[in-house]
Formats: sequence, C-alpha cells, structure tokens
Amino acid sequence: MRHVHARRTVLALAAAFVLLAALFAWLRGSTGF
Amino acid sequence: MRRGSAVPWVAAYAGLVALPLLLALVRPLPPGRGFLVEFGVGLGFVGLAMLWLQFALTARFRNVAASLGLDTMLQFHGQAGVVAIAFALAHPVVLLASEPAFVEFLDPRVSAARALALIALIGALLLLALLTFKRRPLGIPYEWWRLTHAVLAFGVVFLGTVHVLRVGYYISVPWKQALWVAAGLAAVGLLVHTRVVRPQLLRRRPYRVSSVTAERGNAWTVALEPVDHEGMTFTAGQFVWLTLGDSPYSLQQHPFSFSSSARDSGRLGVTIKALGDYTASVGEVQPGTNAYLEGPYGAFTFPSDAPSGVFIAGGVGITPIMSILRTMRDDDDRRPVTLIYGTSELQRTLFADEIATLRATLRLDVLHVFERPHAGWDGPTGWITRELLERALPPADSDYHALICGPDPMMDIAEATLRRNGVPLSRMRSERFNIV
Repeated sequence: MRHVHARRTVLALAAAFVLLAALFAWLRGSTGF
Repeated sequence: MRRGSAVPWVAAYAGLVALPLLLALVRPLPPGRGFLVEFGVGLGFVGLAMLWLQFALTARFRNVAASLGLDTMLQFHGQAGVVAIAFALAHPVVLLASEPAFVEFLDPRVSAARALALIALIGALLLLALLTFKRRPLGIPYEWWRLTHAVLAFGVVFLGTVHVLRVGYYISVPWKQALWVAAGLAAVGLLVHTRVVRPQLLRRRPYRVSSVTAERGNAWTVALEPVDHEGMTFTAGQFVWLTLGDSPYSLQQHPFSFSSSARDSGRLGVTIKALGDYTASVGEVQPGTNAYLEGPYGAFTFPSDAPSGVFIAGGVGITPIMSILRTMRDDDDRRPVTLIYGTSELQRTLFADEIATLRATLRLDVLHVFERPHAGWDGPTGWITRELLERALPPADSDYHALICGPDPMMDIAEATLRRNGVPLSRMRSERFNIV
C-alpha cells in the first residue's frame, strides 16, 4: 500500500512542479515581473 | 515504532524544490525572455533541486526513516529520480525548441569545455536512469552499480550546479551565488556523509560473526556479537544494513531483518536466504569474520497497544516476524496472534519446528499454506490468495493489527484483501524486501 502512495505522491509533486515552472515562466515571460 | 504522517516531509520536500525558483524571482531581475524560454529555465531549476534532494533521501537519517519507513523513502528516491531526470532533460529540449540559438551551448566550436561538460551531463543523466532500471538485465553486480551510481550522481550535481553558476542569468548577485554554491556543497556533503563519514563511525562499533547455522529452505542464520561494546538495541521486526568483511567501506552493504529476539541485544541474528546474488555464498561465511551493522531501521513492528495480531508471511518474509514472535515469547506477551505462512513445502519452511514449539507458549494460531503439500496434509495448498485470507482473517471489528512481509504479489493481495475487509492503513504494516 505504501509503495502505491509513494508513486501517487511523486506524480502529484511532478504535476505541481510543472505548474510551478509554468507560473514562473508566465510571471517572467508574459507579465514582465 | 509507529510511522508518522508523511505530510510535513512531503511539504518540506516541495518547499525545498521550489526554493531556487522563488530565489530567481528576488530582485534584481534580468529582462524576461518569453514564456517558453523561461519555462525551460524553470524546469531546469526544479530538476536540479530534485537532484540535490536525492542525496537527502538516501542519507538514511534515522528520525526521517523512522517516521516514513526506509523502504518508502527508497521507493520515493527511485521514482523522484526519474522525474528529476525528466525535468533536467526537458530543460535543454524546451530551450532548443523555443530558441534554436541555444544550440551554441552544445557546440564545441563555440566553447569546447562547455559543450563537453553539458554533453557529459546529459549522458550522465541518461546513464543514471539506464543503469538503475536495466541493472539486472545487463547483469551488472550490485556493488558496481552502487559505485557508478554515486560517481554519476556526484558528476550530475557538480556539472549541473556549475552550469547554473556559469550561465548566471538569474544568479548574478554574490549572495545568490553563495546560496547556490552552499546548496551544491550540501548535496555533496550528504553523499560524503553517507559513503565516508558513516562507515567511519561504524568502524568504531565492530561486530564479529559468532556462528553461521543452516536453516531449512537454503537459508542461513548469521549470529553476530559486538566486539568491545554493548551491542545494539532494536525493536522486533526491524532490519540493519550489514557489511561482512574487514572494511566498513565495502560496497556490499545490504539490508537484512533481524530474526533474533529483541531481548538478546548481545547476540544478534539475521537470517539470510541464499539466492543467486550476493547472498549465494552466505553459508561459506566463517565464524570470526568481521561485520559492521548500520541501523536499526524500519517501522515493521507490532505496536504495544495492538490488542491482537494477524501476521502474513511468504517465504523468507517470516524473518522479521520470527523476531517478533521470539520477542513475544521472551516478554511473556499473551496477545492472540494468527500467523498465515505461505511456503513451497514443509521441508523448506523456515523455522517450521520453532513455530510449532511457540504455539505451546504463545497464544499463536498458525495456518501453513504449502505450494507442494506433503503426504497427509489436509490444510490449504497453493498460494496465499484473497479467498484463503477471507476465510482465515478474524472479523475486522476485532481491531487486530496486520503485519505483511513476503514477495510482492502476495503483499499486494494481502494488502488489498485487508483493505476490503475494513482494516485501515493505520492497522497495517508491510515490509518489502526488494528495496535495493
């Protein structure tokens, strides 16, 4: 059960990090922050 | 030892990964360069931060390992490593797709040193993933893999950190540079701590093999005695990283569960099944051989507040459960326990005789499941299945705690069946043996 949780956690984190990089890119590249 | 919540650790991990991006947003800021370029940069920062943290995940910090379980952490390390490598490789891909002029970074005619370093970095990332997932098919011995893994990992964080500092677009001010250097050094420091400092500490607490006893099923119990120190106290069900031989720096360090009673800290026993790998020669280990023990680790224990237990073991997975049963005998622990134990056949059933004896002293019900039953056996045969477990499990409202240890397919079936029978995760503990 635990290993399933670890995999889900990693996938959720990976998705969050992609969004974070996109937020960074939007701030820097599109809004002129 | 009860496993704590993973939420604070996951939050800390996410915060540390986000840190380089947040740092890059602190003024003074260079001009923005369009969404895709900055997205590529963002992926690179995230990838490098995750690669740094890989070292923390394998540093075997006792308090973190105790609350999460070392097996979970190593699984996370493996899966996060894949994601980190994907981010790190997506960085040049996205940059080149958005701005082909970035190809000059990989052009040896522009800068031979830079191009070589970055191509080496990309190669090392690919090699790290390839060697980890193809180690067995490629027939690479564990100790060689462990050495190349450390060397490649060091090369990746070194080159990656130097790359960020040399590009310097977001790291132009000295305090930011200092933070990046510090983060890189911390990652390397963790590697040095795990691979150099800790073995040095182990050297001060050596053990000696006092006996090697053949068990049923091609397994061996190695008894270890502390040399000039008081030994190790552990909770029944835990494991140690064991190194046999003259040097604690040996790359052959593997996790093994204690099989001995936790009340016998002066004479520790691990039981090892001789498989086709590094364990094949365990029976040839001579008494008097030096040994180094790192640990104890693991949260696979029978909680003292559990009213009763259901232990589900497959094959050599009985080892930590044997330690728990022997400790219960020494503690005169009379809590009712059901043991469901699947093996190939009686003649190869590890600890079969002692388990039969323990039934007389403990409140222990034993259900053997033999793949190849002997003549006259009228109990269950085959594998541990969902149907068998549903017949054998006590009613869920009896609040028993379940411990599961064995091969992956058996554990998957046992965990799923327990869940279906209303046993919450808080009353279930598993130990998977194939963590390295």
